[in-house]
Amino acid sequence: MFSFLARKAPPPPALVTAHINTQPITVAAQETLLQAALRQGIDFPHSCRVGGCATCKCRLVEGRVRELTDSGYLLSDDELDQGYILACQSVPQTDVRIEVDLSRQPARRSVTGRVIGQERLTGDITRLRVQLEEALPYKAGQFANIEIAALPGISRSYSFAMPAQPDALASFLVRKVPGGAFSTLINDQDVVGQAVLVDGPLGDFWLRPAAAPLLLVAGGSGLAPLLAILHEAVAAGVTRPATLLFGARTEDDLYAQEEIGAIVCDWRGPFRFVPVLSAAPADSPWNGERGLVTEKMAAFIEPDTHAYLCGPPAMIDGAVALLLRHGVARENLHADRFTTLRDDLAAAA
Amino acid sequence: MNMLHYLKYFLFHGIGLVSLAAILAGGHYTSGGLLLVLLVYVVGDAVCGDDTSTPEFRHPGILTAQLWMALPLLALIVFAAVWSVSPGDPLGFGEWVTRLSGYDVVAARAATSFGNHLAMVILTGLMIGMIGTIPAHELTHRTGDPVSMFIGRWLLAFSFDTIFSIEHVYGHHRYVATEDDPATAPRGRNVYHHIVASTIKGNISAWNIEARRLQRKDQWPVSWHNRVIRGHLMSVLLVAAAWAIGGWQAAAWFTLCGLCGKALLEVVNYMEHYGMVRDPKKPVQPRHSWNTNKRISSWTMFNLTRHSHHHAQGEVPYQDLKPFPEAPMMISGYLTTLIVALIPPLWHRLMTPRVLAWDRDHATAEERQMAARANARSGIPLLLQEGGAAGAPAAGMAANAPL
Repeated sequence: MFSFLARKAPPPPALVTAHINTQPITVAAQETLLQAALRQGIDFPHSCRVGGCATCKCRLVEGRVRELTDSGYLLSDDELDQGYILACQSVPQTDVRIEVDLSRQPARRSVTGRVIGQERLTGDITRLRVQLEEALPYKAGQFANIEIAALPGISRSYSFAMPAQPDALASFLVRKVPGGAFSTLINDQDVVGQAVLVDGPLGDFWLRPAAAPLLLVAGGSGLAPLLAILHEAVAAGVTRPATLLFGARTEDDLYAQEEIGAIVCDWRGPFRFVPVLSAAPADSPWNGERGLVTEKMAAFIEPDTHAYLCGPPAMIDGAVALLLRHGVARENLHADRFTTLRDDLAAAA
Repeated sequence: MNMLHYLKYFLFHGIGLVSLAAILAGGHYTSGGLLLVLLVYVVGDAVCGDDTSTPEFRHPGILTAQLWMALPLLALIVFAAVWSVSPGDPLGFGEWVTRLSGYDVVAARAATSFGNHLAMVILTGLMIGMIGTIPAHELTHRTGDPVSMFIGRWLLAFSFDTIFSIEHVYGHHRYVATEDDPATAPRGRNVYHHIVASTIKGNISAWNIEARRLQRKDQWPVSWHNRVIRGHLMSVLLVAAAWAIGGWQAAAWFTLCGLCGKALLEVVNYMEHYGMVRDPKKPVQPRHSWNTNKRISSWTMFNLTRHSHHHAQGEVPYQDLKPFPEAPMMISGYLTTLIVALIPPLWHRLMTPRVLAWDRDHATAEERQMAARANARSGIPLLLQEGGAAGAPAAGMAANAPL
């Protein structure tokens, strides 16, 4: 009853590295192994998350953890001797190595869901909100292939527009492509209530941990994965200086302005948001930047910049060339090309 | 960061202090206090709408202190209730309060009728649940923090429910919405059956969980190491303290109030998961709890209302729980729903459509089959009809070709 008088918690460590099998992840102070693994897109087996079911049982091979609950509730003497711990109840105190069987369910899989919302953001971009039946861990910035009941057999790739949510809600920004069956359906028809199949996560577009200044460049619906990345970075307390350039045609094509405003407000370091309009009428009251987003980038590039680019291929190509010319290292460039079916066919021809 | 977000959770302590005053003021003030508390919740939740904000708290220490303060507050409330049925003036408490306030609480106590005393049992039971169990729930989830565990278990001792700190975390969170969970009420069960069944099965479950833990450590289940035994001894100690204060009638009075508090918790369990089904092998999702974001309930109950997120991520502290507006929603705020639950015909009338909507809008295909079996066993005519249509796609999905 008075055991708390005898125990002293050790001071919280700074960021530590955990190797989950061979994959390194960073663990924040006070974060459990399970939270850190899920946050970084590892599909760590788990269920109750409070130390009651042992689904997240894994072996601590190296390092030290603080256990939040008596693992004797679930682990046998034998298991304890072999170094088994519960990932949901273990806060690493040093760098650790963990062995766990991740083969029980593949990271990439298909999850069914239901459309619960459709919101027209601009003349040709709709936010599609989907309630998945179970959580699909992914890294902010990744994408999935989506199929909808009304168009069986047709699958299209879209980036998650927010970080993985505990209530398994997912949202995607769908830009209407002329002649595109899927994007036209989402933009023009009511699809709320329809069943969807989400296959993912896919892609290697996500925020690499570093302290270097960030330059994020989005064109049109390419803002989606960057919004996810920024939300996640805010939640993680990232303090890096950041600049977000957002290219659109006219003022009517700027969307998510409130959402970006909240990110600017919550960001722990300096943050600049620069919308750039390419086709704002000369007589419009717009007094922000005009032109192509790539023409405005130069002023924001520093040699140690890490750049994350997302949008149409022409924008990406222009931005990459410019960044390389300004001495940004190729390994610090991360791009996600938003291609349409027609782009893909043209590239294949 | 708006200070008000810290202040709003002090409404909890405000309710506790109002109840304390109502108990001490005696007479009709006691019944009036009970009525006032009920009105604040029922009317407040109906009028004030939802709070869906999730501000970032830079000083979570203040919030933890708010939870810890529940223990002295509850001790004071329960002491006042025990004092009010004790002969004489134990510890000179009445004289001290009278001197401090200028209001003669000793005379007021003498003038308190049986009916008002009945209101006092309900009010004290309500406070043991609200000022005791609710913060204790939050605190005993913090298994890594010994101070929180210590305070949490003492808060639970007032309702003879220290086993909650074991059963809730290691049992309920693992088995919620399955037949193995004592706290999940199957469809058709009435609340009074649930109070008894969940209390008995919860105690058995806690004992089994604890016995297995000790077995793994090669320790004897019947020993000082057993947290179930130690916990119940804490409650016995409180009964003994009541006896020391005011003799056997005070001890009986305290026991009655404590059992009221325990019953209250079981009603809340009933409301939170009534009729939910889940495949035990799959992780808990927000759809497996009835959620509500009603403002007054959320503020005074440390977001217990945001139950869908709590079960999906049991490790999240209350201030970071998200409102999950897409989750299945309870009838109203906690006290309103509680009153409805106590009237079984009304409960089933209001909940059956919600349960059917859950099957249609939230359940997976697999869960819909489990739900059909649950409906067939429920004894509720409307649910039985649905049970007959087992296997057929629910209306909302019928238009969609299977993928």
